[in-house]
Amino acid sequence: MIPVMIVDDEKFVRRGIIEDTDWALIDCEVVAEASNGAEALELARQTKPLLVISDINMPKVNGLQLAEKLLAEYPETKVIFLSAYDEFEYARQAVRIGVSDYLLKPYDDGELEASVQRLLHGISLNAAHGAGANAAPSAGNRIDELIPLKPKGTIRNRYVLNAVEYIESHYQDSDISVGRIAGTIGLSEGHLSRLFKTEMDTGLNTYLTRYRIRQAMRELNDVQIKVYEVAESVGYQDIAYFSNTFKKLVGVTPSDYQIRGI
Amino acid sequence: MRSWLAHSFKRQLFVVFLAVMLILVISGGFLTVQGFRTRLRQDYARNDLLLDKEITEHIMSLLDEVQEAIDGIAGDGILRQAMEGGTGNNSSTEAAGTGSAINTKVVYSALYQHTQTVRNRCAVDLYLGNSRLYTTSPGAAAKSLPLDYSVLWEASENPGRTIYSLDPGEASEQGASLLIVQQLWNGTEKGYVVFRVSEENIKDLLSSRVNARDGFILTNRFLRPLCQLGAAEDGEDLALVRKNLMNRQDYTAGAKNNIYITELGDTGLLSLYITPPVLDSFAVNVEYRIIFLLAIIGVILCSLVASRMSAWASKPIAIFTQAMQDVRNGDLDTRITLHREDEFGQLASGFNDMTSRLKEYMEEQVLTERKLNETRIAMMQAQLNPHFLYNTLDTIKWVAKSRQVPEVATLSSRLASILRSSISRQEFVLLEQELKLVENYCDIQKIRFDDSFDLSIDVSDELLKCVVPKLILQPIVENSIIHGLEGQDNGHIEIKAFAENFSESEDTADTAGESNQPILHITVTDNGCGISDEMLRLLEDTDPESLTGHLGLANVGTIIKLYHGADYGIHAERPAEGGTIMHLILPYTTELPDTAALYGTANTLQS
Repeated sequence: MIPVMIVDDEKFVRRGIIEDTDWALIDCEVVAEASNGAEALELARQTKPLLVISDINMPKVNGLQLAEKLLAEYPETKVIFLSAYDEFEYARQAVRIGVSDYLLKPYDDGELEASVQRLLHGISLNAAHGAGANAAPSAGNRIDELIPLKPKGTIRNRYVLNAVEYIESHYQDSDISVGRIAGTIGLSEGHLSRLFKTEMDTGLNTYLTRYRIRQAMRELNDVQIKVYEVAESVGYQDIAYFSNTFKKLVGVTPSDYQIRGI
Repeated sequence: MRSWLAHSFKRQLFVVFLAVMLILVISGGFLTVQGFRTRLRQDYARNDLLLDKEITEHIMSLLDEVQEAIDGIAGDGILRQAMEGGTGNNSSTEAAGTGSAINTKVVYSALYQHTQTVRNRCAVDLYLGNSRLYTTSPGAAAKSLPLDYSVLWEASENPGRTIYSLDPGEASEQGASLLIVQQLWNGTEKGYVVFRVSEENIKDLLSSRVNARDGFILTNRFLRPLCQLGAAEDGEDLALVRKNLMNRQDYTAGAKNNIYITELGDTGLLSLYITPPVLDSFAVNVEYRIIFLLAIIGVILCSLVASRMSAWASKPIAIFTQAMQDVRNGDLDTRITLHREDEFGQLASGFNDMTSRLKEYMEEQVLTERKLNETRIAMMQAQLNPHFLYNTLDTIKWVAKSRQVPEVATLSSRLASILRSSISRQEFVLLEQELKLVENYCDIQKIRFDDSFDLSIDVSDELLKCVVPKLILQPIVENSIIHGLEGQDNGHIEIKAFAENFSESEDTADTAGESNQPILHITVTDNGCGISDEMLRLLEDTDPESLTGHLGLANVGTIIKLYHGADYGIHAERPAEGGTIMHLILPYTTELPDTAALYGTANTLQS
């Protein structure tokens, strides 16, 4: 789990970002939230977030100053700016400081997740892409890097292994659920969830989603196939919901991915 | 010097005046002096010549008297007898009577009788041979004269002719006695009559006739002086003349004084009349001093006149300069008051006219500017800070999400997106962006009209990157939703795009020529009630004047034609099966046009 800090002076916005974003899906965890740059800097020293999502216009210490100080202290930190300002000057300064991405408020659903995914896995992906050209294994590697799943061989808990195997064979069913998996294995829903979370560091539902999107990416390597066919084949009935989820994890829409890749 | 002159009117005037004045004074002064001197010299020369002539005549009259006396003596029998002795002609014999020896008394009485008129001037001697027999100057010692040279010799050579000569016995550089001799008798020895005019006598005769500052010299033909009078007493003038003649030069060369030489008849005597220079160096100096003084007075007058003149001309100029400076500093109330009616006066009234008009114009200008600024401020006040709008819409989105109202979240985020692209100053966007705008717009309208229609977009990837004018599709879709699909539950809008004359290869695109330009077609089809006749008519009207402020459907065609020309635009159709097909024809381009070149048309659009 990647530790994340959210910085915005508006409470509704801050809470909205924290609650509306599927952090588990993109393997992230919110560890701190701050209402201005000064507070954020203090919290960052305590919680050491690797990703900071910050507004620019804030009282006391603004986003630009925060990013500058933060990156001076922790150069490995990634910073994403959220701002209503689309002025060139802000963007230029952000780039100069070393800010990783810049989203315009209000952003569309899934845009933030896509940005995080691009950011956290994009650099190594691009490097792999550049080195390995169009080779098939590199495509597989890219999927593994973007949406990593714990390898089956390392799973020690039998029940969890059973659940993973069940998902692998039934992910195409749109009505798959934690209850059904638990029933099949013979455990209570709560028990399985706890076991799974402990073993896999991620929830069962999140694992399922990630698995489905990995499958979708593989299928979309075939340029002939239609996006709605892929959605259906990986267990999604609502194509919009599929596209949204796909975009959150891959950073681009399914059709864009099919045409251009990541 | 040049700049010293160039910067002052006064100095220029002064220099010009000075030059003119100096030329006049100096040349005029010289000419006057020269003319005056020439005239004076002529007058004096005439005067001198008159004097000379008078003196010459005086001498000549003396000589004439002497000649008369000689003639008298020559015809006297007694004297002949006395000088020739027994030998003589009849008349003398008759006159002398019978006595052979002539009484001395008789001789003297005859002599005195003949020499009565001249005796007070000269002594008369009768010589027989070289010895003096008789003389009218009793006190004087007996004098002999040489026979073999000088006067007696000359007289004996020229019997019957009067010889004028100086006394060889007592000649000096200062003067000598004049001897007038004629051989009259030819006895055993030759007999001569000798008239001796001493130097003193000549001086007595002439001194009263010579002007005080003049000089007079009487010489024989060899320029040996008989007497030198007045200014000529020092002998320098005579020496100079002699020297000049010896050197074959003009006899006046190098002379300070004026010298006039006159021959006295055929006597061989010369008279030299000498006058001092008409104007001596002192007088010349005085003349030059006067010229110099005139020049100085001229300089003073010139500078005076120049400064007056320049003040007369430059004072108004200074006033003008100051006034100009004031105007330049922004004081448009500057007026020039000159009580003159010449060109300066006209200039002043022209200037006043100009400043008052300038002021009126400026005031007008300021008023216009103020109005413009007021309008601008009003406009700015009317505009909300867009960031406030975006931030508020963002907050609305999150509040809606937290309150579980996803429609409100969608409405606010779509509205923010539409706002962003419509406020943006970009005039051209990618087709992709325009389609995104249409999608956002439709998302909002779907919520507003309860999902009564759906939108499908079928545009190939490469066409998404085409560049099109901003906001050309949204008004069409808006028209479809509001007018076409009104009251319908299953409305459908479809946007398609395809390219014509388009080739992937650039070569064929290049050789395609003007008529085969690649064209982008975009169709918007709805299944509504069909476009109204009024709107059809509006679409055909492409006059820029009919453009209204907001970029509604009626303006789409006009905008495209303004940007791309009359070959492009919009057409509407009402197909038989119902609904409307809007057909946009645009140039196929993936490059942003040069906005500078389009600036003019963009302005037309705004106005």
